[in-house]
Amino acid sequence: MTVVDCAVRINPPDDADVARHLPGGWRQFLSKPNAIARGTSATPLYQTRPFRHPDGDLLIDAGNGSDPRLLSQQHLDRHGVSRALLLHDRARLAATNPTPRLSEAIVQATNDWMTERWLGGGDDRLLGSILVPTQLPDAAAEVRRAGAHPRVAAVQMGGNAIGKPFGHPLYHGVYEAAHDLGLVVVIEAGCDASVDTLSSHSAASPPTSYTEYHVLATQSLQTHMVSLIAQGVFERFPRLRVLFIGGGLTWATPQVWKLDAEYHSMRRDAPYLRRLPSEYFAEHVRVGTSPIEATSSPHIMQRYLEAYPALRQVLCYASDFPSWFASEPQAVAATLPPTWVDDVLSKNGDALLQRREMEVTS
Amino acid sequence: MSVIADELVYAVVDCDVHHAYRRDDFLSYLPQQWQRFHLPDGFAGGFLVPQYPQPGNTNKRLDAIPEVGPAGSDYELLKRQLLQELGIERAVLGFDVGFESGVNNPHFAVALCRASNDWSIDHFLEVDERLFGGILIPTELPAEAAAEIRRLAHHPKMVEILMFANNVGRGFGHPFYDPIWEAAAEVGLPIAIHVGGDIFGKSPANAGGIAESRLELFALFGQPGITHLTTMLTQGVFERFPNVRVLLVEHGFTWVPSLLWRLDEMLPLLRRECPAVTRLPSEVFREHVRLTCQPFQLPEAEGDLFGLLESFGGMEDLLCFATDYPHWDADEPDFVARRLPAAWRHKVMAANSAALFGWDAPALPESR
Repeated sequence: MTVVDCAVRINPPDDADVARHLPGGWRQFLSKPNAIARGTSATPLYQTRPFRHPDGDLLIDAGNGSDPRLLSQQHLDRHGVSRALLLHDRARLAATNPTPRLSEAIVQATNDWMTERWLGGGDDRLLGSILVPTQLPDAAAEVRRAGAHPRVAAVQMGGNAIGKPFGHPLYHGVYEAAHDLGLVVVIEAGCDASVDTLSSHSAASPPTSYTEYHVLATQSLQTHMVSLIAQGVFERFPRLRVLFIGGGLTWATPQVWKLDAEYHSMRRDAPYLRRLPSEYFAEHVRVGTSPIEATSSPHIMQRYLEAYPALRQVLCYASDFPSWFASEPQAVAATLPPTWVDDVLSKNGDALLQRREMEVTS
Repeated sequence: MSVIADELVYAVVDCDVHHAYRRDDFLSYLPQQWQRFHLPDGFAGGFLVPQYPQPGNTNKRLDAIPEVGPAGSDYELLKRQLLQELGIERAVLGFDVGFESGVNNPHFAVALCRASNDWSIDHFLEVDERLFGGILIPTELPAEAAAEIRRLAHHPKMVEILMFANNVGRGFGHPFYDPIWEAAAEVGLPIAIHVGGDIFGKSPANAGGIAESRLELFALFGQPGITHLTTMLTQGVFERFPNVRVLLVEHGFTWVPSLLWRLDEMLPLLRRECPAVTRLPSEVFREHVRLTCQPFQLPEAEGDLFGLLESFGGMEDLLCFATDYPHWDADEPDFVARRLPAAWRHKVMAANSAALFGWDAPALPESR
């Protein structure tokens, strides 16, 4: 059985590698020609994440996620991965850069860097994600531009640049473009945790430790999932699929059940819906498995997952290689009900990453 | 699925009832200087909550609204609808729902809390032996909150501390709130945290941006409480104050396995980030935290609530029945009791609460 991996993290080896793709004016604005990236004259392209694991966010010997050969050796070849969705790591907050047109330029340069460095190398296993300059009203144009590349499979929403839940109408232009091109929309843990976002990573309080940051990261995903469903995004874009990354296996079940229960009594708040929220969840939402939650025995997690059978078609293996919490396929398989393994490790991801373009009829 | 008996027999303790004052009864409890800040339709310099529409512009069952005053303000009506009709042995009253403690002006909040507590004792707690109460505290000024705890902790009808408003954007386990934990430990009362204290706009009510409808707000309601609980565990609150317990009221409970598994696996790093933490969070949680089970919601889609809970195990010792009277989504005892496994019933419906409040375990009645 081959494995489909819905989340592999990539980084540029240095900012200069991306800055080459910037228009000259922006390149000059950010750095001097021939300046050393992160040297005294160069402005970093990407925002630093506010919470970082003290032992490193990425596995030590994985080359910072910047080397396709290491990715092959250490993960794809080793684990029989037939297809992998590449997600931007350090770059993922680019859309929230407070200078709007600069955020657009950096997003575009990053997308161009990605297609050149990662999608042009002849490794058919690799599929790319593009970032979107969501602060700007014409953000969808970048989806159509960079998303035209045949090996791009996903739109990575990245940082929450508008400060609204991702189902908000301000985001719908991006979804329309993704829907037209058959691209998966990816929403990830940490998307609300930038100093440049108006939204919060966690309710009640910002995290005050890495532990809190990591544990509470599912809250963003829950808000965005609830918003996408309740705002009728899946009615408006009936072939859209949204992949949630970085929350693990267990966050969705209580949230979907809760949303169904509240919809039972507050139906009039969601006039766009024709079905139960859980039906939209099962059909349109996919959940990347990482980071898997540790339980004292695998039977415990199996029992938890089996409590909500719809997850069998929803969970998609996501290694999140080379993050510090990356999980190998065998480790994920051990947590699953045995009959689910093939679906979660292979079939669900395979179906998800099939790019299904809309046929444009005149 | 367990067979549901035609006639269930069980004792009931209700951990979440919302009583309310009629303004005319309340004003005299406020110092003169503050009385005019308590307007007939709100508070001057009060607070705002998000303006999501709701049917009838009320969140109460319509038949619980008396002719004069808000729902929960009429003792006779509450006695009939809650105690008599539902067969409740003991009920713990928690105001509606403690918003006074979160007004914008923290000095006003102090006055309102004192007045609320004094009013509650006179108008409800000392009126009926079945009624108990909580000490509402002005959380934004922890030293004042501690003083209020100490002032009333020894009243025989005060069985908990009501810690509600988070006006400072910090979890309740954060050191900012330590004076409250110290006072609670000193007087030996549990702290009850009702959902909703983070929606004043001073602390995020949920992650990811403002919820776009009441439906979404309610779907995400559990998030602040989860953060608050997380901070209690990440700051080692229960290891520093080992005789304090917490009752999470109306925050839900299906999220428990997910949160505690994640916290447990982070223990090695957590101990480096907070030296006060030494023990496994889930063990601390089982000892120190209880949760009310209202609204008791079964999955609409194909799903197994008890299978999910059993994967974590021990939830029958953690859940405490509550009606949430007089809200429109209140649970009646029979509704919950009929859906519980038989082995859970007495614990969830009465015994867990009794233990939390230091009462003798209620005897099973001969008939209901």
